[in-house]
Amino acid sequence: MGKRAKIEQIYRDHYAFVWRILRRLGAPAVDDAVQEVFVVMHSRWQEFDLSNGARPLLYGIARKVAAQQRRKHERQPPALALVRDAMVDPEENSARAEAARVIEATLERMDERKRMAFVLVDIEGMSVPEVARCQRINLNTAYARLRAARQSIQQSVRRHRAREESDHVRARAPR
Amino acid sequence: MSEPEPRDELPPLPDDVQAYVDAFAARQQPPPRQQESTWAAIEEEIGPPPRRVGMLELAIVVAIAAALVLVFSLRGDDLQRDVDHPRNQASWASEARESAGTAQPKRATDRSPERGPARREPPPPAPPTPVPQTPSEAPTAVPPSTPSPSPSRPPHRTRRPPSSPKPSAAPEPAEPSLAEELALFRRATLMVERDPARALELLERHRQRFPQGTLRTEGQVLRARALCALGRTEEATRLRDGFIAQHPGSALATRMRSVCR
Repeated sequence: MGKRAKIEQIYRDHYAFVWRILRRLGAPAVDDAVQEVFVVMHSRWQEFDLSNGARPLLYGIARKVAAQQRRKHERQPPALALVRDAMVDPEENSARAEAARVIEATLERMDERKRMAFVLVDIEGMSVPEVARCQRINLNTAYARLRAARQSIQQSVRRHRAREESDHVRARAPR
Repeated sequence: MSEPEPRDELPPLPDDVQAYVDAFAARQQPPPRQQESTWAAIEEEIGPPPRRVGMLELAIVVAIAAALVLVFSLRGDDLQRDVDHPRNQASWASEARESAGTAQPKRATDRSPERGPARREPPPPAPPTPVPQTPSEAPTAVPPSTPSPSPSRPPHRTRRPPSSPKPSAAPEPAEPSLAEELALFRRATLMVERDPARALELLERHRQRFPQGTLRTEGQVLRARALCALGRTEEATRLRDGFIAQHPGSALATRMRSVCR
């Protein structure tokens, strides 16, 4: 299999992963960034080592591409992104949409390193050692970031649930 | 010391939190049609696929070359016959002059000063009298001004009348039709992302006009992509699965596998 065919295969297998990662990394133009990731992969193919799988490599390229894009463009405000997301699928179950928004908002507030640890492990299903390799950090640091991210997420979820319950109680209370 | 797996080190997320995360993850999907158009943009930057297009173009070039060789070889034959032709004409003229007398000399005079262009004209009118023969009379009718082709003349001359209905009629349409097929197919390819419905129309036209076309297999892949882009996933997957079952080892099967995934 030639270089180009391999890249095409990697693209087919990991397109959605790269797309999501770039989105989480705050790339303002995600589709352009996806394109850039694979163009970089093609142009610097000889330098890359795929022995650990494509994802760590793709993550590394995506991180740089997103950072470049962010520098070029002004970063899109998270609230706007949320509004746009909500408009994408108006018929989506509102409870699920609300739950998704809670996570989205928490991730937006989070430090990028913690956010990416959470996204890579709890959304993309990577192992912590893999994430440590991706981010070129100590394994313990990776665990620490993941724990911290999870803690924030849990707190947000608990707060949201508590608020919902109190709203519910208030709505049912006799006036 | 082996690196611990995260699930060993960290407890799983509580169910209620996991439900929130699942709801979030479900929304994190790229738009369904975006993958193909992004790949098309990448292809523009890194260049077209060398393997498949190369083979396709090679096949087209070979086909065109074969058609050209055929056309030129037949033309060459024809030219030789044309060179012979004046002699036939002359012999027929002399025969006619012997039998009927007038009117014929006009042709002979037309031919002698400007042999080249005049020679091209006669072939169509010549066949009406397809029994010329008498090669021995030729040298007497036309002065030995006709150049080299003379050695190969006698065998050609006898065959001349039956071959006059232009043998080039067969291969010539093959060349434009191939180009036409390619052009139609390219348009369909361009339209797959921009306007898949239009691409389907073009592919249907391609299928009707070129049922045995060189690109019919490639057309199936394109058709599946267009169907998928239109959201007709059932049809697309049916086409995809049928194609893969039919051509499991084909290079196109790899591309087909990615349709609607």
